[in-house]
Amino acid sequence: MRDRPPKWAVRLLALAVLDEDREEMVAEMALLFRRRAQRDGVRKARRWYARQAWSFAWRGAWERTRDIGSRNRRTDTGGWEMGEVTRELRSALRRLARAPVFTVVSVLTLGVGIGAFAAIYGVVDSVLVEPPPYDEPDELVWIWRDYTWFDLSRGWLGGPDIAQLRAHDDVFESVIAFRNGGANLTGRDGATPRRVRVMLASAGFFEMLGVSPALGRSFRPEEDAPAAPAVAVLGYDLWRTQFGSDPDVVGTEIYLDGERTTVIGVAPESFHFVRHGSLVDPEGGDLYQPLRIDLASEDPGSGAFAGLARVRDGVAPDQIEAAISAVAADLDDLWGNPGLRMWSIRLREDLVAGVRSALSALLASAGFLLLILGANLATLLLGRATARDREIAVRSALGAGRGRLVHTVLSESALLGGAGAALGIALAFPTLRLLRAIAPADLPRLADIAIDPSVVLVAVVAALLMAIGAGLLPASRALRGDVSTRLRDRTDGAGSGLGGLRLRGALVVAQVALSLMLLLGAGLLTRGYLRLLSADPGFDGRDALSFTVSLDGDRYEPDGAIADFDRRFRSGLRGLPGVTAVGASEALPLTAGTNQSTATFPGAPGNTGVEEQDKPLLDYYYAGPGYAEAVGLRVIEGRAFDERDVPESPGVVLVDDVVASRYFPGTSAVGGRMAWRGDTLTIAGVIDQPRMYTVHADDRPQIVLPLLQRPFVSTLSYVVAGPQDPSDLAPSMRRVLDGVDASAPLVDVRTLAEIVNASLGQERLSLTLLLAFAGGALLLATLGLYGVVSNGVTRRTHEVGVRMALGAGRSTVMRMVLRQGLGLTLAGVALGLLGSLATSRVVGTVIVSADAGDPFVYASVVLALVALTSIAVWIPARRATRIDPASALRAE
Amino acid sequence: MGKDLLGELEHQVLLAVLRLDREAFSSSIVVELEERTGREVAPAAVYIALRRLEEKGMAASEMRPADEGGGRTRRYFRATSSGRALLRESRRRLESLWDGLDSALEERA
Repeated sequence: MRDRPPKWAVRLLALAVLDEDREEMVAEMALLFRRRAQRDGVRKARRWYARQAWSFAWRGAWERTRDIGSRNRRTDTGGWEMGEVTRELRSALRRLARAPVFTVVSVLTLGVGIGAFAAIYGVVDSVLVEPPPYDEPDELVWIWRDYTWFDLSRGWLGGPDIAQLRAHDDVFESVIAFRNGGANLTGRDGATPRRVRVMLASAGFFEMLGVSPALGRSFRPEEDAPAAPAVAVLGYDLWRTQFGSDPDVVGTEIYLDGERTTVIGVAPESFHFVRHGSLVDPEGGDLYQPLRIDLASEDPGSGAFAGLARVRDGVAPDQIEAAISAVAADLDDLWGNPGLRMWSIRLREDLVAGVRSALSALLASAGFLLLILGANLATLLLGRATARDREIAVRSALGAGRGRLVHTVLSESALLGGAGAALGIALAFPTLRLLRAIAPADLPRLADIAIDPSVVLVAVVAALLMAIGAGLLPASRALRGDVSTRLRDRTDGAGSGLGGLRLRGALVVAQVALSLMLLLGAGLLTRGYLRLLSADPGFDGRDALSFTVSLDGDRYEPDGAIADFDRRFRSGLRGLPGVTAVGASEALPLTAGTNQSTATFPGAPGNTGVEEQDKPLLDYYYAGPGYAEAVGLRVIEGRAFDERDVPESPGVVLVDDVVASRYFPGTSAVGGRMAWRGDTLTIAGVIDQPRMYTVHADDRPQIVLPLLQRPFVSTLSYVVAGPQDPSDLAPSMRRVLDGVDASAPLVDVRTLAEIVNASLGQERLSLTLLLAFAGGALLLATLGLYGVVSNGVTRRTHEVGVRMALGAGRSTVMRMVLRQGLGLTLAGVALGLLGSLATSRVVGTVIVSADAGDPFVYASVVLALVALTSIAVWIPARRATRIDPASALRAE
Repeated sequence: MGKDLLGELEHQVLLAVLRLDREAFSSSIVVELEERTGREVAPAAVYIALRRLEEKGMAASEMRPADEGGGRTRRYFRATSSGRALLRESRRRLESLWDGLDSALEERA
């Protein structure tokens, strides 16, 4: 545990106090920190320090504004007087209250935009910006093996790697090995077992992260020794749900896969060990156990552990690099120099590697929406300022100074900005809840997503910037031009209005352009997403139901016990109404649940003679009879597994089309041989590859081994095909299982279609958000356009009246108005298309299969935009044609 | 707040300065206040209170080498004569307000 205050908090404190006191206060606070740490422990003291640093920051800021205020009162030479500002704000409030429609529309516009922006920013902030909740997270690095001779750059470490890394203790403060596992948990009462995820980690794991247990203690080094009695730290959720938050749980015994295990502690509520987002179950374990392995004596050949290290303070990146390379070089020598390398990446970067670009694109879209809102708000304020031109002209004629007039306009903006920010923040909370609900479960740090002070700060600053920025346009206009001409203008006549109209036109063009860019992005993503949905995952049985059964390893130790279970369970399930096929597998499609190993294909025509290419790393898993039928795997040639594939019969294997086409090009792979861990297997059939990772392109070669021939797998996923409504099936499945093994937990019941859907969660989130933004943008742009054209018609009533009196037909008038409106639209479209040249490339990073140049999308988006804006123009145009020349002229 | 009055925290801080005599510096004042009042005290609030007390002329400070050495200097505070006068005055006022109230605070039967 680090026994010093958080670095950022020290920096914040130093910023918050006056220069002359800086050194002094940092030293004094360090004294207080040490005192706290002794009394309450380091962790509490660090939290206290952070709180106090914030307190210095905001109290300091408050003090300074107070100082400014009092100084101004004292000098009293006009300009910025506090009393003046309050007066100005109060009168702005009165003015806004007199224009309720304008006020409500402006505040709503701002509020909705800020709300959306703040919610997205909340996600981005929690996922990308906020440091992970560990001590000094930037000192934590993952270390990976890179098997350069085949395609695996994020390989796990071997036990000896970890031991050797630890020897570099000048670089690493500690190095932890861990891996994930599962176990059947039986409570003290021997009640129904429950499958739990176990995270196995070296002693020192909690200390490295700076996490102290909520109850009890963490692992002791001796508990990590090979023959040590089993102990466990419960995860908070498991403690709450399975142990009823029992405060006396520490010291009690539980059974994990039949092994008696002492509970030594409970992890704190906030603790979720977060791993790389691309891994299954990124949120860590239900409970934590020491590894109990002598790492140094492990087989260096098997990459079995994830390695996490804490780098010592002040160690340079090239020192880390040197230490890691030395360990990798030793291993590489041991293996005859195939080219093994190791590399490290900071935990924080690793965590978000998979989502950074998508989230950044979304934040940029939210920024676009904000810009559109800003333009919209500027239009509204401009309309209001134009209407008040005369009032302002009168006031300036009566001697009001320019500064005073700017204050008048800006104080309205500030009030609107404040109200908009408040509404926006209020809206951001439910929006964020919604986002969390639709966010994919594999989004890293999903549980941490919240609106914190920094999000609020960003929202308030954005709202004020927008409101004041939008207010500056009309304010600057109010000061231009000659007062007397403006006074002479009749009502809100064309003289002063024209400039305003031109500015509003420009704002509308900007809005149309930005909306088009968002719409294009949304359109391209939609097409990409639809392509993914209809992408061939390599199997046909989307309606089949899947679930997972975990067998107690010890009881199924004897040869044939698992095979026997599988036969009895399958025959029971086949007896259920409507069931046509049942089969078990170790890894369902799209769950990334396969293992990897190398194999060779001796005598295959596709061998090149280059060892690296002829010894590929393959995804492999076991599957039993009936599995191919139930999942709807497509057998291209040969056969799938059946009851004949038992230990006594010749060894067989299924290969996928990737293997077949690479090693048996132009010939049949069936009957070919594969060397596998000392055995030679015969290829029984070739299947279309069921995708294991993503529904889109994925060419890792894959093989399937017969479950009944090598029945060592105790966690089996079953797939049941046939019934119309699979949900009716769940209770009967459990009944069948009870008949075979009542103690085996049955979990994760879902259809294969649901699995496909779940694998697209992140894409779906991005798409939903972008569609919402684009929809909002389109609405705003259309309303903006309508406002400008409609306003133009009102202003030109007199002109239209004269024209019509002089004989202009309705169609001439209609054309005149349409030309104005559509001219703005087309200018916006042209600008938007130019802009999207720069931005649309990004869509490929959000959804892989999105095609930035899809002409169909461009055409339909432009058409839709023009069609909708035409309606917005047509309505005021029609009004113009109904102008009665006589009354228009009489109004003169 | 008038110029001659003290906020509650300023009042407490000034008392702590008085009590700590030559050992009054910001962290010792925080510790003193926490131990006497049994409540958590924000160092930032104390820092600001000390600055205000100095502005009002109720306290004064000087930089001296810190007692624990290490070459560090530290800002030590002391109450000025007007600070002490103000404390006396406020105590007198409070005592006159308290006068005869002891029985009123007893639990009513």
